[in-house]
Amino acid sequence: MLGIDGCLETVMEIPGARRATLVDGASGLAVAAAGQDGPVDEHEDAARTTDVVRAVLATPALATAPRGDDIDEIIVCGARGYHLLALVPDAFEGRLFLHLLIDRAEGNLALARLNVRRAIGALAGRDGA
Amino acid sequence: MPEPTPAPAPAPERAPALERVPAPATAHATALEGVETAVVAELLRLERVGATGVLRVGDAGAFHLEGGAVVHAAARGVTGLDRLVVAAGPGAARDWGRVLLAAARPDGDPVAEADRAPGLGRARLELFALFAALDAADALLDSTAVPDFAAGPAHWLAPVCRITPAMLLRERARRRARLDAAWPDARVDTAPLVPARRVHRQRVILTGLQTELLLNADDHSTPADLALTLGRSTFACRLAARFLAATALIQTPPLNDPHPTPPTARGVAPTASCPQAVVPTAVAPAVVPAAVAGAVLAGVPGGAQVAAGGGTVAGRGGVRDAARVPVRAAARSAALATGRVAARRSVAADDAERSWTPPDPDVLLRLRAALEELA
Repeated sequence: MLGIDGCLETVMEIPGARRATLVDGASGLAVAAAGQDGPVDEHEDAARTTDVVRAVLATPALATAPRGDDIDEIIVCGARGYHLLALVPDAFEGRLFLHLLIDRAEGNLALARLNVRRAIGALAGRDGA
Repeated sequence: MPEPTPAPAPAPERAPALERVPAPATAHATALEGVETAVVAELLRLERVGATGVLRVGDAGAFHLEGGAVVHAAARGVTGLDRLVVAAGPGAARDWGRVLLAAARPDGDPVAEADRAPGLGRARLELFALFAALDAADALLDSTAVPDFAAGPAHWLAPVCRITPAMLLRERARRRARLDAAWPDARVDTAPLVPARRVHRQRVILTGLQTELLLNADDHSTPADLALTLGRSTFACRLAARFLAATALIQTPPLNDPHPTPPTARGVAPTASCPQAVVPTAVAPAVVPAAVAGAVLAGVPGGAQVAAGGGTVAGRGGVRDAARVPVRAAARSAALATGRVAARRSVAADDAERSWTPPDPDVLLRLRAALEELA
């Protein structure tokens, strides 16, 4: 099995992937990053995206089931690309997520989502617990 | 190499964005905090000489170093790597045993073992090791104990986790900022977590961890104690507790209370902190955190709750509410609430009886069990 950096490398092999960051939402720590640098410090990015994730999780209107449900991914679409915020389930207190930037012209959102899920499976483990 | 040479003043330098990779052996220090403990100075010195071994910090815990970088850290009262892994699930717990066996054998390869384990995996081990080390470092870096370094073989986690002291310092600063942004009163970290009796809002949204804290609060466990019990990261629990304080879901000492609750009054006087938190203390606002000084309502009965983030002020009428309906917080199970809330309400209702503390049901149960054993 792969380490964290290995996971990020596989994520970066997704067509159109520009930047991938694994963020610890509790402290706003960018645990690991790969790809080109963003316009601002990645820890700053991490803290801001954490706020986005928290806001979405705390908004009942954004739940897809009447009783509320778990959110897997948050997708932000820009004119030039997509941001994929994929939450790593349970084992890490729901605080870990992967932030992937995909180029709109080169990338394919559906394909990227499938591949990201697979990479995250390695992080989350398959405990079934 | 325990030569006690005093470390020269750390040279300011722009820290690289991420330092999980082995850092170059250049002098490498960031002056992030004004006040640095002896532990910090010693860590920076050991990094410069590229030391490998164990740095003990009094009886609080220890850093394990390899080539000057921290590869593992454990601290008393902080959720450690074992606990995190075991709490992650039955698969991880089973595989963790095998990893530890491999670590104990001289010819074992624990990292490869973890890599093979279906329930664990290398990536998860790396993450758990990182979070455990950062949590422990929070406690160790602030310790005033005299550090004591002993050279020795590297910890087996060395290939998995590598954190430079500079990154530890930056991470500590970020964590502090994050805690203070949630709720500026640090006493929440060390005081027993006591759920509020009344919730002054129509609906409350909690994260999973915040709910766990509320459900498992027993009136004398601090957030760190609960983190140990639940197998959650200590920092995450502290942060959750601060959020709970900011939303007035747990009782907090009044902001102008010059006598903070003693840290970890576990088992001794379990309910002694409750009256203090609920009943207004008739003291002058001597100590007021600067960040919220402008917003404090010193005269409000029950103490004013000031949520720094949203700027909302929710005065809790502690004494008046005491006689009314019980808590209706969605997250509180009825079984957990009834007995204790009733006991606490009687305390708050009568200011004159503050010296009397109701017996803790836990203590009574244990007493009965002990007596039955004797009989």
